[in-house]
Amino acid sequence: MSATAGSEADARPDAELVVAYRGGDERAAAELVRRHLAAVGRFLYSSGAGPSDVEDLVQETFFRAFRRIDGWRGEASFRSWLFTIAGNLHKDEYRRRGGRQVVSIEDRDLPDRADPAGDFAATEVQERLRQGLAGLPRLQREVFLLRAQEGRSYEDIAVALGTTPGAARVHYHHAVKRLKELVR
Amino acid sequence: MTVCEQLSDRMPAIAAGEQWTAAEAAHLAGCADCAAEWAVVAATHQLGADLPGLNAHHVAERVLGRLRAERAAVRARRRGLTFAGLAAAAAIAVAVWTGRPAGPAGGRTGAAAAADLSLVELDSLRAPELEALLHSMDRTDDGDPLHAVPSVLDDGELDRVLEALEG
Repeated sequence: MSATAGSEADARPDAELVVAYRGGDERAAAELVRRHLAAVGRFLYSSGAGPSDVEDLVQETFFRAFRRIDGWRGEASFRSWLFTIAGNLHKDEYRRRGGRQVVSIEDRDLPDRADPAGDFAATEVQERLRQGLAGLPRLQREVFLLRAQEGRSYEDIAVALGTTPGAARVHYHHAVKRLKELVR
Repeated sequence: MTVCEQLSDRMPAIAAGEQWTAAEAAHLAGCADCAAEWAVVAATHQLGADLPGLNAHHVAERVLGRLRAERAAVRARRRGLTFAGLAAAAAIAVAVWTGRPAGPAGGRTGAAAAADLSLVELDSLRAPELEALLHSMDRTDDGDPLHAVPSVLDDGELDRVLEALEG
């Protein structure tokens, strides 16, 4: 049977799925992928990864996560833990490319809706924002994305990123201050 | 100058779908700091929403396939190491068995064979030459002509060496 077949695992919380996967249940792993795939992809894209690289980076994120599944002890949310792995991958990719951000001009073609002018303006803002995010210090960027995209509490962010809730709040506001200038 | 952060903690929830209260909406309409922050948070929440090409089924199959392949490779490597270890142990055992000194009922030692080999060369010597050779052997440190004979020889081997020396 395919590891991704079936949907009875849908209702179980992440922690139970992780325990099930540790016990050899591949369907639990497939459910974790289904549940967090889009968020990890958005996190990577928002951090500056090119759309064509996102799927490979997402795949690598889950591969590393399942290979070291015992590294997640449930202190931070599973998704926040995935984001830290994705952040490390993105950092490695950044270094591998000699310090160049992955954001490219072709990446502006993503939205394809009925209002080309409005789309262009929105895309311009989003592209400036993405460039701005890519230029932030890593901790500021990750705190900001975990908070603004995922709505995570400062406590959860602090555990996931190895800082304190107070420091996470400061990082968030520093990021907002820098990004405001790009979105005006 | 202090930046207003009155709505800051509410913004992620609003971006995720909750509604501003009337008071919050009124504040937002008149506060440039909160409006600018909200623009950033709302735009960030939309980032990647249109990202194409992520198929959970395909990603899961590929990830799990890689994990299975890696586990299989680890098992194969362990089996290989176990086999190599056993083979090395067997090789050491054989080397120890064949290289140990022979017992009284066993074959000859390397030293005895070496003694024999040198004695065969003596066959071509005439009596005066053998005499001279014996005299040269007498000039060893302790004067014992058998000093150079390895001490690992057992009694039977020593007898054979002496017989050979004596012709």
